Amino acid sequence: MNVIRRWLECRFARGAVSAYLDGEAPPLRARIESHLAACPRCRELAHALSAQARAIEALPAEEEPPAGFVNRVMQRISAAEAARVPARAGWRLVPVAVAAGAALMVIAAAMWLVLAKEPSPVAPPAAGGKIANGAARTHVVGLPKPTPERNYPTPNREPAEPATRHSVRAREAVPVREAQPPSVEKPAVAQAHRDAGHLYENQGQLDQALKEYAAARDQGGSRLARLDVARVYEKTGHTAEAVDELAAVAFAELDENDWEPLTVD
Amino acid sequence: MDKPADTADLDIVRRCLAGHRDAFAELVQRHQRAVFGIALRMLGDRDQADDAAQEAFVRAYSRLSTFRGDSNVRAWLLRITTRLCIDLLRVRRRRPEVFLADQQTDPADAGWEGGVAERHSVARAIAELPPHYKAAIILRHLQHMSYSDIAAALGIPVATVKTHLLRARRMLRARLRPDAAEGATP
Repeated sequence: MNVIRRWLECRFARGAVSAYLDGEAPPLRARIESHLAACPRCRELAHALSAQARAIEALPAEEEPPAGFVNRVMQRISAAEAARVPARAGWRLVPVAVAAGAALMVIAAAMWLVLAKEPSPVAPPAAGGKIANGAARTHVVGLPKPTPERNYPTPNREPAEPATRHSVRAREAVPVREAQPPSVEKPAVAQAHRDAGHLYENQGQLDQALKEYAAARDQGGSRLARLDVARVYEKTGHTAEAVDELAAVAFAELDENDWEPLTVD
Repeated sequence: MDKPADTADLDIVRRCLAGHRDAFAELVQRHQRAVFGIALRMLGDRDQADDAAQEAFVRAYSRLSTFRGDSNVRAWLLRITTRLCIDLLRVRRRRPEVFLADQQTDPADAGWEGGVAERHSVARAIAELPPHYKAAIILRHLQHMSYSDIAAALGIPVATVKTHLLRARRMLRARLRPDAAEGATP
């Protein structure tokens, strides 16, 4: 055997001997054994690795945990469940509250429209017609005065198009959403939660920060809220949860430019 | 006659999923030594290992519904524990302060070639390995897992397990026997 071939065989055997000793290289077994029989240096390496394996296996694989371990685990599980239940119960009420709010708004709007068409029999006609009517409406219905600066954006009206099957279907698919004013409360609340989370995070109160960020996320906050949650999970060693959050962001087609750097003192 | 371990564990899992939370205590009781042992070996500190082992069981409880039953419960618990410890090691970026070679210092207790001092050296050398290498060595030699089980536990390909073990063993050899550092040429 020439020198180069021997050198290559040694290189091969030294790479494969570890798996061979573990019984995980059956196809290579004959070749490795043949080399070990002929090469004292590689044989010595194999013996050394065997001795090393025995030395490691002499260490205890199992250890007795501190007393009361089982109780502590069960208490932790109870605490985790207790923390989840009120939160879930609270969130269950959110749709009810939203529905009630929406119903009140519809009733108020209906009353406002009715009163706008019919002058109030009790309100005396006053100079300045329209303005007086508006004032009376506000007074009678009890709604806050509409503020012109707080205009909701109106949905873009598309130019008239022939009523093709496609356009009819498209309109049928989302008939109600177009008529509703866009909600400004949820993003504002989500942002407030994020701001609070940032404060807590800067103070090192990661548990509180996590709660605020999670609230922002659950309020329908932006993908940034999810990234906040992921970052705190990662900081607290909950990598699996962090990955879940990031996966959710990825699925939502995150634009990398949305990353918002946060400096924590 | 006692049920086989796997069957008994699966029974416990079913009872937990049926709403009997207290049954989980039985599972903790059965596997606490293995879970704590691997956490201790990975983290090198009893307090951290205690915390990590508890967290591993809490995670396991919260993910019981995802347990598919295609591996045994013990392997599943060790997988959760190992991954958790790797994450902790990455986040904390610190070396273990205690190497856990032995709790007893009786020199007569010679477990292998050189006894306590050698075991201490081995434990120290393992503790200094990078997290994935350490996990591969522990799962292979202390939990006697196959390469495919280690791959599943660590979420890496089998070929990577081979590489991790080969490199880990080279590192261990270089640390334990500096004079015997391998040369590539015969």
